Amino acid sequence: MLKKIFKCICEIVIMTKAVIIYILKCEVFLEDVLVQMIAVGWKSVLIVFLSSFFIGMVLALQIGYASINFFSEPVFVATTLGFSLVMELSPVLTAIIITAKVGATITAELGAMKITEQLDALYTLGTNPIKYLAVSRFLACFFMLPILTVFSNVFGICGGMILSKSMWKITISTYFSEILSSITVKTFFHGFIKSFFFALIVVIISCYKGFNAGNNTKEVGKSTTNSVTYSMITIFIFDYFLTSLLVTLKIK
Amino acid sequence: MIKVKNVYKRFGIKNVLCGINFDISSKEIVVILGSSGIGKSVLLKIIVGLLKPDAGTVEIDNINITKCSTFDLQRIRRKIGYVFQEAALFDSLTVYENIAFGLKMFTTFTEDEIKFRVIECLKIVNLEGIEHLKPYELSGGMKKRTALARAIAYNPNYVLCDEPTMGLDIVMIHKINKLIIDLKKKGITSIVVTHDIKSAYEIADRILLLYDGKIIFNGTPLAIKYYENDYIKKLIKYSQIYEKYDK
Repeated sequence: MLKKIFKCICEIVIMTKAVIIYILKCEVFLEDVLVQMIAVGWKSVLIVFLSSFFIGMVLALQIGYASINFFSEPVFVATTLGFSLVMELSPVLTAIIITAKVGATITAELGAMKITEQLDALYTLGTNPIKYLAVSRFLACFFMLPILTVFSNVFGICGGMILSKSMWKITISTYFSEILSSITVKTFFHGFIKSFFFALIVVIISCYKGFNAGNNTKEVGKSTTNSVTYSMITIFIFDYFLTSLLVTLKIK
Repeated sequence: MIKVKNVYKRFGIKNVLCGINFDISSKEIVVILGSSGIGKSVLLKIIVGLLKPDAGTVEIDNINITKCSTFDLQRIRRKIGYVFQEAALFDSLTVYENIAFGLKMFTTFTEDEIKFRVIECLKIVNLEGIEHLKPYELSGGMKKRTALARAIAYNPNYVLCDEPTMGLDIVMIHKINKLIIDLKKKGITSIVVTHDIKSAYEIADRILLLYDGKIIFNGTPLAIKYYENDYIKKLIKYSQIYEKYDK
Protein backbone atom coordinates (compact mmCIF):
# COMPACT_ATOMS: atom_id res chain seq x y z
CA MET A 1 0.00 0.00 0.00
CA LEU A 2 2.72 2.48 1.05
CA LYS A 3 4.81 1.39 -1.92
CA LYS A 4 1.85 2.09 -4.21
CA ILE A 5 1.27 5.56 -2.73
CA PHE A 6 4.99 6.35 -3.02
CA LYS A 7 4.95 5.21 -6.68
CA CYS A 8 1.90 7.41 -7.34
CA ILE A 9 3.57 10.44 -5.76
CA CYS A 10 6.75 9.84 -7.78
CA GLU A 11 4.77 9.58 -11.02
CA ILE A 12 2.82 12.75 -10.18
CA VAL A 13 6.09 14.60 -9.49
CA ILE A 14 7.57 13.38 -12.80
CA MET A 15 4.44 14.44 -14.73
CA THR A 16 4.32 17.85 -13.04
CA LYS A 17 8.02 18.38 -13.67
CA ALA A 18 7.52 17.55 -17.35
CA VAL A 19 4.59 20.01 -17.58
CA ILE A 20 6.63 22.78 -15.93
CA ILE A 21 9.59 22.14 -18.25
CA TYR A 22 7.34 22.36 -21.34
CA ILE A 23 5.86 25.62 -20.05
CA LEU A 24 9.30 27.09 -19.30
CA LYS A 25 10.51 26.06 -22.76
CA CYS A 26 7.38 27.75 -24.19
CA GLU A 27 6.40 24.50 -25.89
CA VAL A 28 2.74 25.31 -25.51
CA PHE A 29 -0.15 24.88 -27.98
CA LEU A 30 -1.72 28.32 -27.48
CA GLU A 31 -4.86 27.48 -29.45
CA ASP A 32 -5.52 24.51 -27.17
CA VAL A 33 -4.88 26.63 -24.07
CA LEU A 34 -7.57 29.04 -25.28
CA VAL A 35 -10.00 26.19 -25.94
CA GLN A 36 -9.36 24.77 -22.48
CA MET A 37 -9.67 28.21 -20.86
CA ILE A 38 -13.12 28.56 -22.40
CA ALA A 39 -14.03 25.05 -21.21
CA VAL A 40 -12.76 25.65 -17.68
CA GLY A 41 -13.65 29.32 -17.28
CA TRP A 42 -16.46 30.57 -19.46
CA LYS A 43 -18.44 27.32 -19.37
CA SER A 44 -18.27 27.19 -15.58
CA VAL A 45 -19.36 30.78 -14.90
CA LEU A 46 -23.08 29.95 -14.70
CA ILE A 47 -22.64 27.09 -12.25
CA VAL A 48 -20.25 29.21 -10.13
CA PHE A 49 -22.76 32.06 -10.22
CA LEU A 50 -25.69 29.90 -9.08
CA SER A 51 -23.73 28.16 -6.32
CA SER A 52 -22.05 31.31 -4.98
CA PHE A 53 -25.15 33.46 -5.20
CA PHE A 54 -27.23 31.03 -3.15
CA ILE A 55 -24.40 30.32 -0.71
CA GLY A 56 -24.20 34.09 -0.18
CA MET A 57 -27.93 34.22 0.49
CA VAL A 58 -27.82 31.25 2.87
CA LEU A 59 -24.89 32.78 4.75
CA ALA A 60 -26.68 36.12 5.14
CA LEU A 61 -29.75 34.26 6.42
CA GLN A 62 -27.81 32.12 8.91
CA ILE A 63 -25.64 34.97 10.18
CA GLY A 64 -28.70 37.17 10.54
CA TYR A 65 -30.57 34.61 12.62
CA ALA A 66 -27.50 33.83 14.72
CA SER A 67 -26.88 37.52 15.47
CA ILE A 68 -30.55 38.04 16.38
CA ASN A 69 -30.18 35.22 18.90
CA PHE A 70 -27.14 36.90 20.47
CA PHE A 71 -27.74 40.63 19.97
CA SER A 72 -31.49 40.77 19.24
CA GLU A 73 -30.79 42.41 15.87
CA PRO A 74 -28.99 41.39 12.66
CA VAL A 75 -25.53 42.89 13.14
CA PHE A 76 -22.22 41.96 11.50
CA VAL A 77 -24.07 40.23 8.63
CA ALA A 78 -22.03 41.80 5.84
CA THR A 79 -18.77 41.70 7.80
CA THR A 80 -19.01 38.02 8.65
CA LEU A 81 -20.32 37.10 5.22
CA GLY A 82 -17.60 38.98 3.34
CA PHE A 83 -14.90 37.61 5.56
CA SER A 84 -15.96 33.97 5.35
CA LEU A 85 -16.71 34.10 1.62
CA VAL A 86 -13.51 35.76 0.50
CA MET A 87 -11.14 33.90 2.80
CA GLU A 88 -12.60 30.44 2.80
CA LEU A 89 -15.87 29.59 1.10
CA SER A 90 -15.34 30.98 -2.39
CA PRO A 91 -11.91 29.38 -3.02
CA VAL A 92 -12.99 26.00 -1.64
CA LEU A 93 -16.44 26.04 -3.22
CA THR A 94 -15.09 27.05 -6.64
CA ALA A 95 -12.37 24.41 -6.45
CA ILE A 96 -14.97 21.77 -5.61
CA ILE A 97 -17.16 22.88 -8.53
CA ILE A 98 -14.20 22.79 -10.92
CA THR A 99 -13.17 19.38 -9.57
CA ALA A 100 -16.61 17.96 -10.23
CA LYS A 101 -17.11 19.64 -13.58
CA VAL A 102 -13.69 20.07 -15.15
CA GLY A 103 -11.55 17.55 -13.27
CA ALA A 104 -13.96 14.72 -14.03
CA THR A 105 -14.06 15.75 -17.70
CA ILE A 106 -10.26 15.83 -17.94
CA THR A 107 -9.89 12.34 -16.43
CA ALA A 108 -12.68 10.88 -18.56
CA GLU A 109 -11.31 12.47 -21.76
CA LEU A 110 -7.74 11.34 -21.21
CA GLY A 111 -8.87 7.89 -20.06
CA ALA A 112 -11.03 7.47 -23.16
CA MET A 113 -8.10 8.58 -25.32
CA LYS A 114 -5.95 5.98 -23.63
CA ILE A 115 -8.29 3.05 -24.25
CA THR A 116 -8.81 4.07 -27.88
CA GLU A 117 -5.01 4.18 -28.39
CA GLN A 118 -5.07 7.93 -29.12
CA LEU A 119 -2.29 8.49 -26.57
CA ASP A 120 -0.17 5.88 -28.38
CA ALA A 121 -1.03 7.61 -31.65
CA LEU A 122 0.35 10.85 -30.23
CA TYR A 123 3.62 9.09 -29.38
CA THR A 124 3.90 7.67 -32.90
CA LEU A 125 3.33 11.17 -34.26
CA GLY A 126 6.30 12.41 -32.26
CA THR A 127 4.28 14.20 -29.59
CA ASN A 128 4.37 13.59 -25.88
CA PRO A 129 0.76 13.43 -24.58
CA ILE A 130 1.83 15.45 -21.54
CA LYS A 131 2.96 18.24 -23.84
CA TYR A 132 -0.09 18.12 -26.09
CA LEU A 133 -2.84 17.36 -23.55
CA ALA A 134 -1.69 18.15 -20.02
CA VAL A 135 0.07 21.50 -20.54
CA SER A 136 -2.97 23.28 -22.00
CA ARG A 137 -5.28 21.93 -19.27
CA PHE A 138 -2.71 22.81 -16.62
CA LEU A 139 -2.45 26.45 -17.76
CA ALA A 140 -6.20 26.79 -18.25
CA CYS A 141 -7.00 25.58 -14.74
CA PHE A 142 -4.16 27.53 -13.16
CA PHE A 143 -5.39 30.83 -14.57
CA MET A 144 -9.14 30.29 -14.70
CA LEU A 145 -9.81 28.90 -11.23
CA PRO A 146 -8.53 32.03 -9.43
CA ILE A 147 -10.56 34.20 -11.82
CA LEU A 148 -13.65 32.10 -11.10
CA THR A 149 -12.91 32.46 -7.39
CA VAL A 150 -12.99 36.26 -7.74
CA PHE A 151 -16.32 35.94 -9.60
CA SER A 152 -17.57 33.66 -6.83
CA ASN A 153 -16.67 36.34 -4.26
CA VAL A 154 -18.65 38.93 -6.19
CA PHE A 155 -21.66 36.65 -6.81
CA GLY A 156 -21.73 35.51 -3.18
CA ILE A 157 -21.57 39.08 -1.87
CA CYS A 158 -24.38 40.07 -4.28
CA GLY A 159 -26.51 37.14 -3.10
CA GLY A 160 -25.90 38.17 0.51
CA MET A 161 -26.74 41.77 -0.33
CA ILE A 162 -30.13 40.88 -1.84
CA LEU A 163 -31.09 38.80 1.19
CA SER A 164 -29.75 41.34 3.68
CA LYS A 165 -31.82 44.08 2.03
CA SER A 166 -35.04 42.10 1.70
CA MET A 167 -34.90 40.14 4.98
CA TRP A 168 -32.84 42.22 7.41
CA LYS A 169 -33.58 45.64 5.91
CA ILE A 170 -29.89 46.51 5.67
CA THR A 171 -29.37 49.24 3.09
CA ILE A 172 -27.08 48.58 0.16
CA SER A 173 -24.72 51.38 1.13
CA THR A 174 -24.44 50.09 4.72
CA TYR A 175 -23.92 46.55 3.42
CA PHE A 176 -21.11 47.56 1.08
CA SER A 177 -19.43 49.89 3.52
CA GLU A 178 -19.32 46.99 6.00
CA ILE A 179 -18.00 44.65 3.31
CA LEU A 180 -15.30 47.11 2.24
CA SER A 181 -14.22 47.77 5.81
CA SER A 182 -13.94 44.05 6.56
CA ILE A 183 -12.18 42.89 3.38
CA THR A 184 -8.63 44.15 3.13
CA VAL A 185 -6.13 43.43 0.36
CA LYS A 186 -4.58 40.76 2.57
CA THR A 187 -7.97 39.15 3.21
CA PHE A 188 -8.57 39.02 -0.53
CA PHE A 189 -5.16 37.55 -1.24
CA HIS A 190 -5.64 34.93 1.46
CA GLY A 191 -8.38 33.28 -0.62
CA PHE A 192 -6.89 34.20 -3.98
CA ILE A 193 -3.51 32.56 -3.26
CA LYS A 194 -5.24 29.42 -2.04
CA SER A 195 -7.18 29.16 -5.30
CA PHE A 196 -3.92 28.82 -7.31
CA PHE A 197 -2.90 25.83 -5.19
CA PHE A 198 -6.36 24.29 -5.50
CA ALA A 199 -6.14 24.68 -9.29
CA LEU A 200 -2.86 22.78 -9.29
CA ILE A 201 -4.34 20.01 -7.15
CA VAL A 202 -7.36 19.58 -9.43
CA VAL A 203 -5.47 19.56 -12.71
CA ILE A 204 -2.55 17.40 -11.55
CA ILE A 205 -4.76 14.69 -10.03
CA SER A 206 -7.22 14.74 -12.97
CA CYS A 207 -4.49 14.45 -15.61
CA TYR A 208 -2.63 11.78 -13.65
CA LYS A 209 -5.74 9.65 -13.18
CA GLY A 210 -6.63 10.10 -16.86
CA PHE A 211 -3.21 9.08 -18.16
CA ASN A 212 -3.14 6.12 -15.78
CA ALA A 213 -6.69 4.89 -16.30
CA GLY A 214 -7.12 1.17 -16.88
CA ASN A 215 -7.62 -0.35 -20.28
CA ASN A 216 -11.40 -0.63 -20.31
CA THR A 217 -14.42 1.64 -19.96
CA LYS A 218 -15.19 0.44 -16.42
CA GLU A 219 -11.68 1.43 -15.33
CA VAL A 220 -12.09 4.86 -16.94
CA GLY A 221 -15.26 5.35 -14.87
CA LYS A 222 -13.43 4.23 -11.76
CA SER A 223 -10.52 6.57 -12.50
CA THR A 224 -12.93 9.48 -12.96
CA THR A 225 -14.62 8.80 -9.62
CA ASN A 226 -11.24 8.42 -7.90
CA SER A 227 -9.98 11.61 -9.50
CA VAL A 228 -12.89 13.63 -8.09
CA THR A 229 -12.68 11.96 -4.67
CA TYR A 230 -8.90 12.35 -4.31
CA SER A 231 -8.98 15.94 -5.56
CA MET A 232 -11.64 16.93 -3.04
CA ILE A 233 -9.87 15.25 -0.12
CA THR A 234 -6.54 16.79 -1.12
CA ILE A 235 -8.16 20.22 -1.42
CA PHE A 236 -9.56 19.97 2.12
CA ILE A 237 -6.23 18.76 3.55
CA PHE A 238 -4.22 21.44 1.74
CA ASP A 239 -6.78 24.07 2.74
CA TYR A 240 -5.90 23.52 6.39
CA PHE A 241 -2.15 23.69 5.82
CA LEU A 242 -2.36 26.64 3.43
CA THR A 243 -4.59 28.57 5.83
CA SER A 244 -2.15 27.88 8.67
CA LEU A 245 0.75 29.02 6.51
CA LEU A 246 -0.96 32.16 5.27
CA VAL A 247 -2.10 33.12 8.78
CA THR A 248 1.47 32.60 10.02
CA LEU A 249 2.68 34.84 7.19
CA LYS A 250 0.07 37.38 8.30
CA ILE A 251 -1.78 37.23 5.02
CA LYS A 252 -5.22 37.36 6.65
CA MET B 1 16.50 -1.24 -42.47
CA ILE B 2 14.82 -2.82 -39.46
CA LYS B 3 16.58 -5.50 -37.40
CA VAL B 4 14.73 -7.37 -34.67
CA LYS B 5 17.15 -9.39 -32.55
CA ASN B 6 16.19 -11.97 -29.94
CA VAL B 7 13.15 -10.09 -28.65
CA TYR B 8 11.32 -11.45 -25.61
CA LYS B 9 8.13 -10.08 -24.11
CA ARG B 10 6.03 -11.41 -21.30
CA PHE B 11 2.73 -10.19 -19.75
CA GLY B 12 2.21 -11.64 -16.29
CA ILE B 13 2.77 -15.38 -16.59
CA LYS B 14 2.20 -15.44 -20.35
CA ASN B 15 5.27 -15.48 -22.60
CA VAL B 16 4.04 -13.62 -25.68
CA LEU B 17 7.28 -13.34 -27.64
CA CYS B 18 10.12 -15.83 -27.11
CA GLY B 19 13.20 -14.91 -29.10
CA ILE B 20 12.02 -13.14 -32.24
CA ASN B 21 14.64 -12.54 -34.93
CA PHE B 22 14.22 -11.04 -38.38
CA ASP B 23 15.51 -8.29 -40.69
CA ILE B 24 13.53 -6.11 -43.05
CA SER B 25 15.21 -4.45 -46.01
CA SER B 26 14.08 -1.20 -47.56
CA LYS B 27 11.19 -1.09 -50.05
CA GLU B 28 9.96 -4.46 -48.87
CA ILE B 29 6.43 -5.41 -47.82
CA VAL B 30 6.63 -7.84 -44.94
CA VAL B 31 3.48 -9.41 -43.57
CA ILE B 32 3.47 -10.74 -40.02
CA LEU B 33 0.89 -13.47 -40.03
CA GLY B 34 -0.59 -15.37 -37.14
CA SER B 35 -3.82 -16.19 -35.39
CA SER B 36 -5.62 -13.66 -33.16
CA GLY B 37 -4.00 -12.94 -29.80
CA ILE B 38 -0.67 -14.49 -30.74
CA GLY B 39 1.33 -11.27 -30.17
CA LYS B 40 1.52 -9.70 -33.62
CA SER B 41 0.39 -6.26 -32.41
CA VAL B 42 2.75 -6.50 -29.43
CA LEU B 43 5.62 -7.12 -31.84
CA LEU B 44 4.61 -4.14 -33.97
CA LYS B 45 4.36 -1.90 -30.88
CA ILE B 46 7.83 -3.03 -29.82
CA ILE B 47 9.18 -2.13 -33.27
CA VAL B 48 7.76 1.41 -33.03
CA GLY B 49 8.91 1.78 -29.40
CA LEU B 50 5.47 1.91 -27.77
CA LEU B 51 6.35 -1.17 -25.73
CA LYS B 52 9.74 -2.11 -24.33
CA PRO B 53 10.87 -5.69 -24.83
CA ASP B 54 11.93 -7.65 -21.74
CA ALA B 55 15.05 -8.68 -23.65
CA GLY B 56 16.48 -8.21 -27.13
CA THR B 57 16.92 -5.22 -29.39
CA VAL B 58 15.18 -3.46 -32.26
CA GLU B 59 17.36 -1.46 -34.63
CA ILE B 60 15.91 1.01 -37.09
CA ASP B 61 18.47 2.48 -39.49
CA ASN B 62 21.22 1.23 -37.14
CA ILE B 63 19.78 2.94 -34.06
CA ASN B 64 18.82 0.68 -31.19
CA ILE B 65 15.41 2.05 -30.24
CA THR B 66 15.17 -0.03 -27.07
CA LYS B 67 18.06 1.88 -25.54
CA CYS B 68 18.03 5.28 -27.25
CA SER B 69 16.98 8.57 -25.67
CA THR B 70 13.47 10.01 -25.95
CA PHE B 71 14.83 12.60 -28.38
CA ASP B 72 16.34 9.92 -30.65
CA LEU B 73 13.17 7.87 -30.41
CA GLN B 74 11.12 10.85 -31.57
CA ARG B 75 13.58 11.39 -34.42
CA ILE B 76 13.20 7.74 -35.45
CA ARG B 77 9.42 7.94 -35.23
CA ARG B 78 9.47 10.69 -37.84
CA LYS B 79 10.54 7.98 -40.25
CA ILE B 80 7.62 5.75 -39.28
CA GLY B 81 3.92 5.96 -40.04
CA TYR B 82 1.77 3.78 -37.82
CA VAL B 83 -1.75 2.61 -38.59
CA PHE B 84 -3.52 1.38 -35.48
CA GLN B 85 -5.87 -1.58 -35.38
CA GLU B 86 -8.84 0.65 -34.42
CA ALA B 87 -7.48 3.60 -36.47
CA ALA B 88 -6.95 5.69 -33.25
CA LEU B 89 -7.98 8.93 -34.94
CA PHE B 90 -8.12 11.93 -32.60
CA ASP B 91 -11.85 12.21 -32.08
CA SER B 92 -11.84 15.88 -31.13
CA LEU B 93 -10.17 16.80 -34.43
CA THR B 94 -11.52 16.75 -37.98
CA VAL B 95 -10.14 14.45 -40.68
CA TYR B 96 -8.09 17.39 -42.00
CA GLU B 97 -6.61 18.14 -38.58
CA ASN B 98 -5.87 14.46 -37.99
CA ILE B 99 -3.90 14.17 -41.22
CA ALA B 100 -2.24 17.56 -40.75
CA PHE B 101 -1.15 16.65 -37.21
CA GLY B 102 2.06 14.83 -38.18
CA LEU B 103 2.88 17.49 -40.77
CA LYS B 104 2.65 20.21 -38.13
CA MET B 105 4.82 18.18 -35.75
CA PHE B 106 7.45 16.88 -38.15
CA THR B 107 7.76 19.45 -40.92
CA THR B 108 8.18 23.17 -41.39
CA PHE B 109 5.44 23.28 -44.02
CA THR B 110 3.37 26.43 -44.38
CA GLU B 111 -0.40 26.23 -43.89
CA ASP B 112 -0.89 26.14 -47.69
CA GLU B 113 1.64 23.34 -48.13
CA ILE B 114 -0.04 21.37 -45.34
CA LYS B 115 -3.44 21.86 -46.98
CA PHE B 116 -2.05 20.70 -50.34
CA ARG B 117 -0.47 17.59 -48.78
CA VAL B 118 -3.61 16.69 -46.79
CA ILE B 119 -5.75 16.87 -49.93
CA GLU B 120 -3.12 14.85 -51.82
CA CYS B 121 -3.15 12.14 -49.12
CA LEU B 122 -6.93 12.02 -49.09
CA LYS B 123 -6.83 11.55 -52.88
CA ILE B 124 -4.38 8.66 -52.47
CA VAL B 125 -6.82 6.89 -50.14
CA ASN B 126 -9.84 7.85 -52.27
CA LEU B 127 -11.44 10.02 -49.62
CA GLU B 128 -11.58 13.45 -51.22
CA GLY B 129 -14.04 15.93 -49.75
CA ILE B 130 -14.30 14.58 -46.20
CA GLU B 131 -11.76 16.94 -44.62
CA HIS B 132 -14.37 18.65 -42.46
CA LEU B 133 -15.84 15.45 -40.97
CA LYS B 134 -15.12 14.22 -37.46
CA PRO B 135 -14.00 10.58 -36.96
CA TYR B 136 -17.39 9.56 -35.47
CA GLU B 137 -19.01 10.49 -38.80
CA LEU B 138 -16.85 8.00 -40.72
CA SER B 139 -17.44 4.33 -41.49
CA GLY B 140 -14.93 1.66 -40.41
CA GLY B 141 -13.28 1.57 -43.83
CA MET B 142 -13.08 5.36 -44.03
CA LYS B 143 -11.46 5.47 -40.60
CA LYS B 144 -8.84 2.91 -41.62
CA ARG B 145 -8.07 4.82 -44.82
CA THR B 146 -7.92 8.14 -42.92
CA ALA B 147 -5.48 6.51 -40.49
CA LEU B 148 -3.41 5.36 -43.45
CA ALA B 149 -3.49 8.88 -44.91
CA ARG B 150 -2.33 10.26 -41.54
CA ALA B 151 0.48 7.71 -41.45
CA ILE B 152 1.81 8.52 -44.92
CA ALA B 153 1.24 12.29 -44.84
CA TYR B 154 4.75 13.24 -43.70
CA ASN B 155 6.46 10.87 -46.16
CA PRO B 156 7.78 8.29 -43.73
CA ASN B 157 10.32 5.67 -44.78
CA TYR B 158 8.40 2.92 -43.01
CA VAL B 159 4.69 2.27 -42.63
CA LEU B 160 3.55 -0.13 -39.93
CA CYS B 161 -0.04 -1.33 -40.27
CA ASP B 162 -1.82 -3.22 -37.51
CA GLU B 163 -4.66 -5.27 -39.01
CA PRO B 164 -5.46 -2.68 -41.71
CA THR B 165 -8.18 -4.84 -43.28
CA MET B 166 -9.84 -6.24 -40.17
CA GLY B 167 -13.63 -6.04 -40.23
CA LEU B 168 -13.82 -4.62 -43.73
CA ASP B 169 -15.71 -5.94 -46.77
CA ILE B 170 -13.81 -7.60 -49.60
CA VAL B 171 -13.89 -4.54 -51.88
CA MET B 172 -12.49 -2.35 -49.13
CA ILE B 173 -9.86 -4.97 -48.25
CA HIS B 174 -8.70 -4.98 -51.86
CA LYS B 175 -8.57 -1.15 -51.90
CA ILE B 176 -6.42 -1.02 -48.78
CA ASN B 177 -4.15 -3.79 -50.07
CA LYS B 178 -3.69 -1.86 -53.29
CA LEU B 179 -2.78 1.25 -51.32
CA ILE B 180 -0.08 -0.68 -49.45
CA ILE B 181 1.32 -2.04 -52.73
CA ASP B 182 1.34 1.53 -54.13
CA LEU B 183 3.35 2.68 -51.11
CA LYS B 184 6.10 0.26 -52.10
CA LYS B 185 6.26 1.90 -55.53
CA LYS B 186 6.92 5.19 -53.69
CA GLY B 187 9.87 3.58 -51.89
CA ILE B 188 8.14 2.97 -48.58
CA THR B 189 8.90 -0.15 -46.56
CA SER B 190 5.78 -1.67 -45.02
CA ILE B 191 5.22 -4.07 -42.16
CA VAL B 192 1.67 -5.33 -42.10
CA VAL B 193 0.25 -7.35 -39.25
CA THR B 194 -2.73 -9.48 -40.15
CA HIS B 195 -4.42 -12.81 -39.59
CA ASP B 196 -5.91 -12.65 -43.09
CA ILE B 197 -3.79 -14.95 -45.25
CA LYS B 198 -5.51 -13.81 -48.46
CA SER B 199 -4.36 -10.24 -47.88
CA ALA B 200 -0.91 -11.56 -47.00
CA TYR B 201 -0.70 -13.31 -50.36
CA GLU B 202 -1.93 -10.24 -52.18
CA ILE B 203 0.59 -7.78 -50.79
CA ALA B 204 3.56 -9.57 -49.25
CA ASP B 205 7.09 -9.81 -50.58
CA ARG B 206 7.82 -11.87 -47.52
CA ILE B 207 5.70 -13.53 -44.86
CA LEU B 208 6.69 -14.06 -41.24
CA LEU B 209 4.52 -16.54 -39.44
CA LEU B 210 4.24 -16.01 -35.71
CA TYR B 211 3.25 -19.05 -33.73
CA ASP B 212 3.63 -19.79 -30.03
CA GLY B 213 5.85 -16.75 -29.48
CA LYS B 214 8.27 -17.64 -32.27
CA ILE B 215 8.69 -16.94 -35.98
CA ILE B 216 8.15 -20.41 -37.44
CA PHE B 217 8.27 -19.35 -41.08
CA ASN B 218 10.14 -16.57 -42.86
CA GLY B 219 9.83 -16.68 -46.65
CA THR B 220 7.93 -15.77 -49.77
CA PRO B 221 4.18 -16.22 -50.20
CA LEU B 222 4.83 -19.02 -52.68
CA ALA B 223 7.24 -20.84 -50.37
CA ILE B 224 4.75 -20.90 -47.50
CA LYS B 225 2.54 -23.22 -49.54
CA TYR B 226 5.21 -25.92 -49.56
CA TYR B 227 6.36 -25.42 -46.00
CA GLU B 228 5.78 -28.59 -43.99
CA ASN B 229 3.95 -27.48 -40.90
CA ASP B 230 0.50 -28.50 -39.66
CA TYR B 231 -0.47 -25.01 -38.58
CA ILE B 232 0.43 -23.51 -41.94
CA LYS B 233 -1.38 -26.28 -43.81
CA LYS B 234 -4.52 -25.63 -41.75
CA LEU B 235 -4.24 -21.89 -42.26
CA ILE B 236 -3.97 -22.26 -46.01
CA LYS B 237 -6.65 -24.90 -46.22
CA TYR B 238 -9.22 -22.87 -44.29
CA SER B 239 -8.61 -19.77 -46.28
CA GLN B 240 -8.97 -21.71 -49.56
CA ILE B 241 -5.90 -19.97 -50.84
CA TYR B 242 -4.82 -22.95 -52.93
CA GLU B 243 -7.40 -21.90 -55.47
CA LYS B 244 -5.43 -18.79 -56.44
CA TYR B 245 -2.01 -20.43 -56.69
CA ASP B 246 -3.11 -23.65 -58.37
CA LYS B 247 -4.48 -21.80 -61.35
